[in-house]
Amino acid sequence: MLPFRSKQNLIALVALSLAGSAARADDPGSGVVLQVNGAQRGLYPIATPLAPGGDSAAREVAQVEAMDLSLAGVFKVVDPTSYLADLNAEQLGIDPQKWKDVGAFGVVKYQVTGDSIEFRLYEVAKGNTAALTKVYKRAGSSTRQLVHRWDNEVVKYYTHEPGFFGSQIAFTAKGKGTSSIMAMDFDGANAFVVTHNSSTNILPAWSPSGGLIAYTSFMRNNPDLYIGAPNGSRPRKLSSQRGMNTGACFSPDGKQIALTLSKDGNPEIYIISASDGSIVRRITNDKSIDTSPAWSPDGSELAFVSDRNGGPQIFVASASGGAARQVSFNGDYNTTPTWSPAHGKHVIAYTTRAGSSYDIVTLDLDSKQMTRITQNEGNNEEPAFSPNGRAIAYARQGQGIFISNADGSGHAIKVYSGNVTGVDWGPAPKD
Amino acid sequence: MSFKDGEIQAVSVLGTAILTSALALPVLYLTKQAPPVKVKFDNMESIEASIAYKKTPQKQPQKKTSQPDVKKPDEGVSHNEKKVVDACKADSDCKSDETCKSGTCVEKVEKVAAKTDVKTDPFKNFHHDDDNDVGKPTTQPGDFNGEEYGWAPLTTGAPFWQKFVKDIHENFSLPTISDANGTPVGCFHISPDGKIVDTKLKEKSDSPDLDQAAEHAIDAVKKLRNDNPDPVPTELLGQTSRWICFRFDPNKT
Repeated sequence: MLPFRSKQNLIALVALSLAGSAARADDPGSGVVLQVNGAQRGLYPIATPLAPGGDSAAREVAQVEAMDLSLAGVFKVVDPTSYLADLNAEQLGIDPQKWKDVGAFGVVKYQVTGDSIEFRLYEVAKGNTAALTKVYKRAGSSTRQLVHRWDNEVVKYYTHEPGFFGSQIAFTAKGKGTSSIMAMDFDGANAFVVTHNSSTNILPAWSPSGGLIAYTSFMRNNPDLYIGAPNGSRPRKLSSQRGMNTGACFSPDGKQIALTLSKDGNPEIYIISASDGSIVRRITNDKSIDTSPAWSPDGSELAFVSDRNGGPQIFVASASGGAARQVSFNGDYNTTPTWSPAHGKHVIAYTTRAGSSYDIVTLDLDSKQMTRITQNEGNNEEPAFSPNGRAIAYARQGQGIFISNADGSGHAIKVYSGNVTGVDWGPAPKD
Repeated sequence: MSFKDGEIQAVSVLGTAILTSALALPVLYLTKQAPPVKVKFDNMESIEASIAYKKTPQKQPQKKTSQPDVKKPDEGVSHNEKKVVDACKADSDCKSDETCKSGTCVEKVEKVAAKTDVKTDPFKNFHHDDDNDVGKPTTQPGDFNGEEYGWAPLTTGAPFWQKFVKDIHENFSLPTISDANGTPVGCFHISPDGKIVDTKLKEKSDSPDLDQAAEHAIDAVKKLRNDNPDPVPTELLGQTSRWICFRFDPNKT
C-alpha cells in the first residue's frame, strides 16, 4: 500500500498527464490550428440572373427583382457581368460551384410563361435544391406586383420579417411658387399627385393603414391640416387652428395625430384626434419653438425638435406629457426626427448639419451609438424608415429621393429625380 | 607665649623627624618578618624567545620537476611479475579473439561506426532513448508530408503567420443575416516558395453559409498568395511540411 504522500504525488502526476493531453489538443496530430477570430459582416450576396431567352416580361422581372433586393437593406446584388454559370444549361436549376465562384450565397431563378411566373430561391451552400419556390398567376396583377410579392417572400425567408416591396412613399414636390403632395411606389415607379390645388402643400404623413395622407396646405392662406385618401379624392380640413397646423404624425393605432400648433403664439406640440381634429392634450409648454413630432413605434413617446437649449436639438417626451429630455448632442443643428419601426429597437433617424452640409444619421437611444447614413453627398434631409426599419428614404436637395440601408452599409440608390422634400414612407403592403 | 624664628625652625625639624620615624619603622619591621617569594621561571614563557624566532627565507613557488613516466615498451620485462609474456609472430600464434601486434597478442578492436547506415538515417547517431517517434521521415526539410495537420503558432509572433491570418481575415466575410453556428477548419498546403499548392475545408460547421464564407476566404487567399507569393521563412519550413489549418470563428473578436 502506498503511503499517503506517495498517493498524493501519483494523483498529481496523473492530473498533470491529463492536463498535458488537453494542451496537446492543438498539436499537429489533432489537426488544430490557428484561430481566425471574427468575420467581416455584411450584405448577403444574391444573384438575380435574367431568364435565358426571356421576353420583355422576363426582362422586367429581372429588373424589378434586382431593384427590390438592392433596396431591401440586407442584400448585395451580384454583378451580372461576373456570372460564370451557363444559364441556358441551368434553366431553373443551378450549378452551385459556379455561383460560389462568383461569391453568390443566394440565387433567384424564374420562368415566365403565358399565365404564370415561377420563382425559385437557391441557397448556394445547400446545393441545387431550391430553398423556396412560388408560382404566381399573372391574371389580375402586374408583373411588378408579382415580383414584389415574391421578393417579400424572399426577405421573409431570410429575415423572418415582412418585406416592404409594394409600399409607397409620399413627398412634397416643389414647383414654381407652389408645392404638391405626391406619392409613388417605394422604388420610384408609378408616381402620382395627391393634391390638386395651386397652393402650397407640405409635410405629408401616411396613416398606419396607408388609406389616408395628412398634410399641411395653405389653400385657405393659413397653414391648416388636411387629410385625404392618396387617390386624390377631395380632402377634408382636420385642424385649422390660428397659426401653424403643421408636421402631422399619426399615432401607431391611427387614432391620434401629433402636430405643431401655434394658436397661442408660440409653436408647441399637441395631440389631436385623427377623426375630428379636436385637441386631446398639449405635450410641450415652453417659450422655445417645439416642432416636428414623431411617435415611437409603441406609441408611448414622442420625439420632437426644440431650441430650448440653444440650437435646434432632438428631445423625447412621454406621449402623455411631462418633462422632455434631450437626446441629440452632436453638432448644433439637428432636426426632423423619425423612429425606426424595427421591433425591439429604440432608434431614431434625423437630419444633422455637419459643417455646411446636411446629413442623415441614426441614433440608438439605448447604446447612444450614432451611425452616419449619408456623407459628402449633398444636402440630405427629412429621413423616413421603411416599414421594417431596414432602409431609410430621404430627400437630397435639388436631386430627388434616395434610399440607403439603415445600418449604414451599401450605397444610396436614387429612386426619384426632382426637387423634393418632406419624405414619408407608407406602411407595408397587405398580402 | 611667643617663639623666636630659631625656635620655630627647630621645633618643625624635630616634628618632621618624629613623623618620618613613625611611618618608616613599621614598614621596615614588617618587611623583615615576611617570607621571601620564590619566582618559578619554569612556567613562564620567554617573550624574548619568540621575538628571536629565525624566519625561513621566502621562495618563489617552484614547479615540481620530476621526470615523466617513461612508457614501458610492450616487450621486455613486465611490471607484473606474474604475467606471462605472449610472444607472437603472427595472428595464428594468438587466440581467435586476439591479434598479433608488435610481437604481442592483443584483443581485436571492432569498427562499430562503420556499421552505421548513415545513408538512410542521418539522425540515427543523434538518437536518444527518450525521443518521440517522429513518424515517417521526409527526404528533405520542407517537403510536404500531408499526412498530418500542422499548426501555426501565432502566439510565438511569427510575422509570416500573422500576415497569413490577416489575409484570411480580410477575405472572411459572412452575411449579417446568415447563421454562424460552429467553427469550420480550412487547411493550406504551402510550398516553401510561398505558393498555395492545395487547400481543403477539413471540418465543416453547422452553418452552410459559414462554410461557404470560409471556403471563399481560403480560395481568395490561395489566389492572393499565388499571385504574389510570400516565401516561407526557413525556420517555419518544418511546420509547412504538413497541412497548415485555420479555425474560423466568426463569433469571437
